[in-house]
Amino acid sequence: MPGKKNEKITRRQFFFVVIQTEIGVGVLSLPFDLHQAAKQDGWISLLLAGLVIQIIILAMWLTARMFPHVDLFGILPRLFGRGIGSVLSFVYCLYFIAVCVLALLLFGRMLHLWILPNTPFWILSSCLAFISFYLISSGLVVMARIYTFVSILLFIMFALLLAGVNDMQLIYLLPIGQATMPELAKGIQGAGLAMLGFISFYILYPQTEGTPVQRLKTMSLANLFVVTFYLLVVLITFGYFSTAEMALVPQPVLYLLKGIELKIISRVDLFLLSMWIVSVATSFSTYLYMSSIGLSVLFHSKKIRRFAFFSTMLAISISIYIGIEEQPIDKFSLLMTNLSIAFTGVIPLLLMVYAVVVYRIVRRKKDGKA
Amino acid sequence: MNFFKSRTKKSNQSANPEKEDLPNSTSLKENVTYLAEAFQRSSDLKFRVLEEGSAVLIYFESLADQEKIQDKFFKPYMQLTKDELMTKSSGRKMDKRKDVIQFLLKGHAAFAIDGSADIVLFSTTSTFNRSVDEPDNEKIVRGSHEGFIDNLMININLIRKRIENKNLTVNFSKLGEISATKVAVVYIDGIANPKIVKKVKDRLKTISVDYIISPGFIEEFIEDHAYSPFPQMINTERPDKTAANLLEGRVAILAEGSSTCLIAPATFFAFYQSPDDYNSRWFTGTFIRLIRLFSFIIAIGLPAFYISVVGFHFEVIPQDLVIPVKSSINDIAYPPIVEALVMVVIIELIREAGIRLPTPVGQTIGIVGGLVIGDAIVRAGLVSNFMIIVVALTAIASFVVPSNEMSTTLRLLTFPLIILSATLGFVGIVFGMLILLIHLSRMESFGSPYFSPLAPLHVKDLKDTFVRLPLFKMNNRPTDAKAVKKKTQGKSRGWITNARQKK
Repeated sequence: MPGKKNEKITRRQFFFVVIQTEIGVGVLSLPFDLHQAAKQDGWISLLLAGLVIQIIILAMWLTARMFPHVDLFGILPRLFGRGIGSVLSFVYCLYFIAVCVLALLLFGRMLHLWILPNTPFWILSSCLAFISFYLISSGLVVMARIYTFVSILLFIMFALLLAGVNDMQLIYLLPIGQATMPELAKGIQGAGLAMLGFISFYILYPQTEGTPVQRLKTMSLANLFVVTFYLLVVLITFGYFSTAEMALVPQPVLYLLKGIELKIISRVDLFLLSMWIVSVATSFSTYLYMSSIGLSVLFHSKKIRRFAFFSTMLAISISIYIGIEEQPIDKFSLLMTNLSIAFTGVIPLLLMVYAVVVYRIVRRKKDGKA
Repeated sequence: MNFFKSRTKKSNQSANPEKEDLPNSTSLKENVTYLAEAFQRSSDLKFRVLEEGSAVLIYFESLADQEKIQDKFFKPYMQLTKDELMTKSSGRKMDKRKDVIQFLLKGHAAFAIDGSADIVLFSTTSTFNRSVDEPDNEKIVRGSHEGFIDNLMININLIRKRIENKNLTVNFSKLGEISATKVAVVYIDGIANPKIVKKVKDRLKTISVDYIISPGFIEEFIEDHAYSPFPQMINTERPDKTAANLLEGRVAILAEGSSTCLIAPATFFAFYQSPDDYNSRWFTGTFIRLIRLFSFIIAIGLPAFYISVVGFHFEVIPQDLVIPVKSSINDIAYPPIVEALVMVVIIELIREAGIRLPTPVGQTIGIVGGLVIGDAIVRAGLVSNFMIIVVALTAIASFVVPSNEMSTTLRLLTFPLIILSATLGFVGIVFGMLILLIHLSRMESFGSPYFSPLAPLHVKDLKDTFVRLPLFKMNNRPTDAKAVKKKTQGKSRGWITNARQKK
């Protein structure tokens, strides 16, 4: 079987896995979300979000460093004991599946709006989910290989976007610094939703080669890459569409390309959309992988494929239940935004504090007594 | 289950195992009767009675060469006494019936005397070999024009001639319980990874069948992923290609009676390489290689792309091209997917008919099939002009691949992609390509990743996959073969620095 057990991924692969997990569904609508929150200052929110995430990464690293051989699902029971730890693990699994559902929904809606208006949602979602299931059943190493390979698409996507640079009006970015703090904060939330993938650090950390510091560096580089990539996308779209126009285009990246006609091919946006499907598939797969890993640890089973299948089915059924109508999706994504603040922001920070302060002191006391 | 197993095993073995293991009898009569019985009194088994019945020469008329019998047996026989013949001649003494039978089957002549349990066997095998001509299916422009033939020893000779090294190792084994085909595992000790060599040998050992007719049999028994459309071992009839692969640390498997050599482990990109790449200048080699890899994308993706553009995303076509495309497909009664499938099947029919028919008739088929049907089918309004172009291009692209196995695989993969693109458009193509990519990346050939320099990414290996950089830049062997000795060369262009230093 490919992907032998205990085979670790290299740091380069780790870098690309994180990138591919972070860049996913959100990239097409990110400029719109940022603009809605903080107008032309949305890019500042993005930078701030990157900063916040870097802090959380540090917190996660501090926690993970104390338990070098286990991932999040091994850390939780060790910190809180089996009872509470298992419950927390289970909740995290559910959260990952919920992210999967959100990805499926947004993916389905995007395709519904742009290229396949008549194809039933369940066909698209189950196709995507089963491809991801096939991917994760081959193991993390194979996943990492593929993520590395398809990362070339990111560069092609970016190159396509460069077509819009000609018509950029940097004046649209002015005036800078008009947004108030709450607006910026809202922007950070929106940007954070597009960068959720950094939470995979918890799971990937013990499965990556290198010293703790090296791994932290790679992770920070990945974060830097994602922020830069997003920043360039956001700046290009902000420069292309005026502040008034931005409010009218929910998928500015696609609209930008739709307006450009090359001599050989028109409608470049459809090609970008096709590449975007790959990005969705990769980030979807990582979440599915994380949830199935979590479930397999919870149930003390080595048969990850079984839990992956279960997670896949669950994600498909929930997404079909919610459907791709406007309102339920908006409700669900609002819920996910709030949940994400908890699961990827607050909890990692608290975990760090608990692990570094409480856990260490308790352990030291124990050691002292013994 | 056990009951059945034991029964089938028994039936596979020869009828009288006990008798076969016995030593020869001292009685000539007994020996002769036994041998005659052992071969079911086969008519081509010749007994030549000598010295009024006290000695017999036994051989298969169909296997032994009369001239050699004259040379190796009768000449010494005239000069020497019988005892001397037993000891001093080129013959080999055998005292077991089993051995005698085996050597008779190889074409040896057996000389038996009354009163002695020893039978002397003379090597009189007649051989018919075709010349070591260049294989028809792997022609190259420049370089070696020799090819393997159906004789194992000559094939190994061709390899050894190219690698005059004591580390070149050949291991024989017999496969097939009835056919007992001689199979050789060839590798270079000290370069090939011992783990891979062991894997190959172990897998060969577990093969338990009645007969091995072609290396295709062996391939199916020992490859990692039997349910994959992709070939996982290189099939070649070229000794130079085999030698080059051995030097990269791979293992070759040859079988008696077949001119095809199997090479493992193989990567996907190995099927896109040809010795021609190295015989031409490296710019040209690179260009040709890029064309070949581009042909992969055309071969599996072009019809799918065309169908999804015509069927789903007409807006992708630039304005000036819209009218020609639209006018070409407007009068066609069938949807593009039917058009495509019809055309692809027609091309496959023409190809298959062309192979089976003798060469002169084959050309006729090409003309009738290609030109006449192609023209008529458009006029009849069954298939559009554009679809003919697309499918013809696809077929040509699939023939560019140097390996026949990979080429058939590509043509097979066109079908699922056509169906996917006809149902989901671009999305379908992306889904199809993703599945393909996942499949390629999770495959392994004898423990080394199949899609090697791309997934997992080995930047250094890319210089001999997509491009062909100058040979003096390739200092290391490709990593996918996991060779023990990494370095392939020192400074082969050291004369440049030497010249500079002299100045």
